[in-house]
Amino acid sequence: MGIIQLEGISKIYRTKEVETVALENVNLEVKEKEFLSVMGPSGCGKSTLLNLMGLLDVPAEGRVLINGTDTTGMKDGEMAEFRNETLGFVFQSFHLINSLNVLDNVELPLLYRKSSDRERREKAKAVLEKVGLSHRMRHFPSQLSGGQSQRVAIARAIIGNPKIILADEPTGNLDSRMGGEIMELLFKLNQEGTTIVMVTHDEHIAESTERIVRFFDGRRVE
Amino acid sequence: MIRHICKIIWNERKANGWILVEFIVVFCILWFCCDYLSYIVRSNSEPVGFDIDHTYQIQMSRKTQYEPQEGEETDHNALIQTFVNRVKQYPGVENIAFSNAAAPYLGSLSRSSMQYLPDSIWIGARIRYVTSEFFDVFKMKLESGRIFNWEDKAESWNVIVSGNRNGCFEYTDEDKKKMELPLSKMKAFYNDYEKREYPIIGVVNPTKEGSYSYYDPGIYYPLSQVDLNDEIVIRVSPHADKDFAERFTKEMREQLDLGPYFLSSVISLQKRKEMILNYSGITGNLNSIYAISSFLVINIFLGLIGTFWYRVQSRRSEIGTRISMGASKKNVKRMLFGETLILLFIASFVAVNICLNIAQTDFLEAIGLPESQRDYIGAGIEQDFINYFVTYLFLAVVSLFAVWYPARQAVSVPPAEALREE
Amino acid sequence: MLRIYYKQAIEMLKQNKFISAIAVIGTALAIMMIMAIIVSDNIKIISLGAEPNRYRTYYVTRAVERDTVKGSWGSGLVSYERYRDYLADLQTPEYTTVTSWSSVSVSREGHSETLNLGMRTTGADYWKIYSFRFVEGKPWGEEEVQSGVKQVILSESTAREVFKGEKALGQEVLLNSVPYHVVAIVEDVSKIYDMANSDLWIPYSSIDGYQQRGVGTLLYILKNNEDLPALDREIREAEKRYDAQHENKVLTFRGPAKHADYRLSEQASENERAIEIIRVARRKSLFIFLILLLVPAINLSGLSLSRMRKRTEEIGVRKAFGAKRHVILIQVLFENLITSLLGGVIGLLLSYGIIYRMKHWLLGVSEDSFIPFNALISWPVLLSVVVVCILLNLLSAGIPAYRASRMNIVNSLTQNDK
Repeated sequence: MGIIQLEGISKIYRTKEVETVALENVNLEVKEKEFLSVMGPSGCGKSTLLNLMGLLDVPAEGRVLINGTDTTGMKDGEMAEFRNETLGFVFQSFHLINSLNVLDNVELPLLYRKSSDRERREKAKAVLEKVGLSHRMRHFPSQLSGGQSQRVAIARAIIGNPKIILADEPTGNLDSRMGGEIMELLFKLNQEGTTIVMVTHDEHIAESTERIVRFFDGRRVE
Repeated sequence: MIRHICKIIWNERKANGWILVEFIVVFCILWFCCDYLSYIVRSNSEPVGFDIDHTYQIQMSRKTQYEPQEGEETDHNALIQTFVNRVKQYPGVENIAFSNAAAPYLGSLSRSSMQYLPDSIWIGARIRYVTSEFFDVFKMKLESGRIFNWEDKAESWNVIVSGNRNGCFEYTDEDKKKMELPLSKMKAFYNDYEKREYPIIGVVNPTKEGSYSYYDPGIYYPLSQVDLNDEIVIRVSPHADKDFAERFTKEMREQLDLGPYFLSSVISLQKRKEMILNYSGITGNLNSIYAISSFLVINIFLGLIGTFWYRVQSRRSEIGTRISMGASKKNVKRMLFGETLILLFIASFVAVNICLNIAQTDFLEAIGLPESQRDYIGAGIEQDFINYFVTYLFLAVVSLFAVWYPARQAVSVPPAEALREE
Repeated sequence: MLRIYYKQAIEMLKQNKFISAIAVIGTALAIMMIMAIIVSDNIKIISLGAEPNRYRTYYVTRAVERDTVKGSWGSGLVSYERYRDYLADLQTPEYTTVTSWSSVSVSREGHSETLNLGMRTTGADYWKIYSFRFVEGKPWGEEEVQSGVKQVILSESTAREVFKGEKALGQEVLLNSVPYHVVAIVEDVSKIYDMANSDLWIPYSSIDGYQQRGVGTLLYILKNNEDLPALDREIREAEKRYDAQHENKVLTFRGPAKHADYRLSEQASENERAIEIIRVARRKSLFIFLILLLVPAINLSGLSLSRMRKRTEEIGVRKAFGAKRHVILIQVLFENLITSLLGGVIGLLLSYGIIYRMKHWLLGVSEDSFIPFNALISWPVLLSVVVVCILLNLLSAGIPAYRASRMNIVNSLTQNDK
């Protein structure tokens, strides 16, 4: 039983006139401590897949199990706890909060847990050290380069020691050098025992990961 | 959490500027509205000192062309007696009193100074001339001593007194300081011109001219010579008090056609009170205050809904991010509510300073806006605290209502969709 | 060009129904309050209907007599004596008259019923100053007033109330038990005309003992308003004549006051006090208008700014394709104007509703009074609405429009790419 289990997942988007099937009857198992790449052309549903894994969305059919727990019908409060403690997100467009500085951004997940101000501060500083951005603590997102922003996002994703990191095209907005740095970080985390599921369209990057699953038109093909 | 919110507010201060300014302006205005309304409410809650329920004024007028008929009574006292008898015989009439510059809401007022003998100080008081039934008609309370009776009227110069809020008379001493003299210690007044003493035989409850006035110390003299031009007030029993004015006027018109006098009108004191209230501008003031307050509250409400709607829209991805970091919907909503309340708190701090400063000046008077009279109701600094808390609470409730809808909308979007906004 | 802006403005309103509704409601509310005040004032001040000469009517209302030796003073209505000796025969005015109001007991010989009605005393010129529709009969002239005949004119509804179905003209009524002859019936006058309105009218000289009492309010109608300084001079000279003829005494009259000032400061006994009252009243009005305009302007400004932020991309594109700064400015102001005008119309209609429901407070008349239509809608009123709308528009869209026009193109286009 993998740490993430998707069984019979379907997701359909409906607008007033059009019905789009984003995912159809998907089954997937992610093993613990695995580094998995999800690949496929754009519009094939891979981002949707990640969102479902991260409980950012609910499937039309099927169920999502995380760490053995069935998340179907979970209440908002339970889901929030899950996201906070078990999962960590890294987005393609970073999604840092512009009205907070780097340190406050990184602290964010711990705000929703019971911890003292001092603990939060210290953990944030430690994790920023890890991604090599201690010198930018008081800066604002608008003052950072793309690579730096993504590193902050990763720091934010790992501050809560999650078991799983979900990364959606983490290097999509970065040049090759910065992209390389980010991948280095992710590999280090994986070695330390974090399960990573990464969506990417870069064949080269995907090849360096442990396993690849491919999608086409909402269905798994490999 | 509070510190976190403060950080956000500070970092977004330019965008928050509008709401802050509006909060400050509205807070200031509502503060003064609260001040005035408190004054009205507190004044109203203190009794006037006269019970005017079921009381009516009988107004008599003199005929301009009058020739005494044959056999008609021309003796003044007999005329009065007939009048009193006939009125008292009317079913429901419990008591009748004559007075001068005494009855409440009838529009006439008299003040004078009397000398208080042992200390030779001059005391100003509200002067009233009344018959002894006056105190019964208005159900006044005798706090000590006795009321004068018919004997007093003929012989001596006994007076009854009533005090201010603290049961005292007021005067200023040589150093222009305001002093008080407790009634319990007083024995008599002295009139230097007439070289006569006025012994104090009784003390009744304090009274004020109207609901919104102050407790004015008073001296009640016996009304020695009664006239049909005086204030005439009757008390009617409650079960007979239905359409009393119309019935009495119709049925007694002929009977009260006495000598040169005729019945002009019968008006309840309650009605008189309303007329004076309108005339004094208090009703107008209250209407204005309700209108302006409602206007401001609706504006704040709309302003907050609109502003938060936009803020929430532009922060959609931020909210999506927070949810993906583990915030529950409740967390996010609480954050939005908290932002509003803290903004309000900051604004209230600035506003209080402005208000207290304005209160020290003549600003309200110069602009012609309604002012509360704190010394009338004996209010002090506690009123400022009341103003602050009431205004803050009121605005807080309105603000939370306004933010509720945008906040609900914000968290109802699935995080995936919110993040896709870019 | 304007039509495109118009279409886009309507489209924008439709797309953001919620926010647009808020903007329109906010505007309507502000306009409603402001217009309620403006229209009420208009009704009290403008010349129309039964009082077509307000614009050239000047009032002398009270007198103050001071004793310079004793240091005492008394104030009250102008007494008949003073009127007759000093103020009745001035050269400047076209018409001079007096009027006062009180309540009276009305009954008929042989009937038991008595009514309490409002009675107005008048001089002869009164009927030339105010516009009445005489159903029957005609009013008194100078000779009747000189001889003090006991004549009375009834309003139509009073005639109906007193005489039920009978013909009223020529009959007799008892006013405070004194018999009067009915010489005319006039159509009812709305209570908003506070000088022309009454239930019945009598000559002031018909009251026994009128020479020893106050005569009421003095009305001077000038041929045109340039004669005002001359009128003022005559009145001040009258005061000096009194002072010369009465040792140690000083007389001052409150007046001549124009209609608007008279309404504001009816209770003042002296001109200085009246000026103070009027000054304070003006400050109060200004302050209230400020609040009624500023608070909504802050609101709407905030909304506009937020809306602008959303449209930065569109504005960047427009500029990239050649739109000049002032073009953007005008576009934003225009879109906002649509909202303002819509809110303005709604607000104006709502203000009529407010005036109707709160007649007593705003106009000082009883709840059952009738307000003539042309008092509510007139050119000054419509002009005011348009001006207020434009003012609100400028205040609330001015800053956002300015900032929109100054936006840097590149920034606007890349705004949403973070």
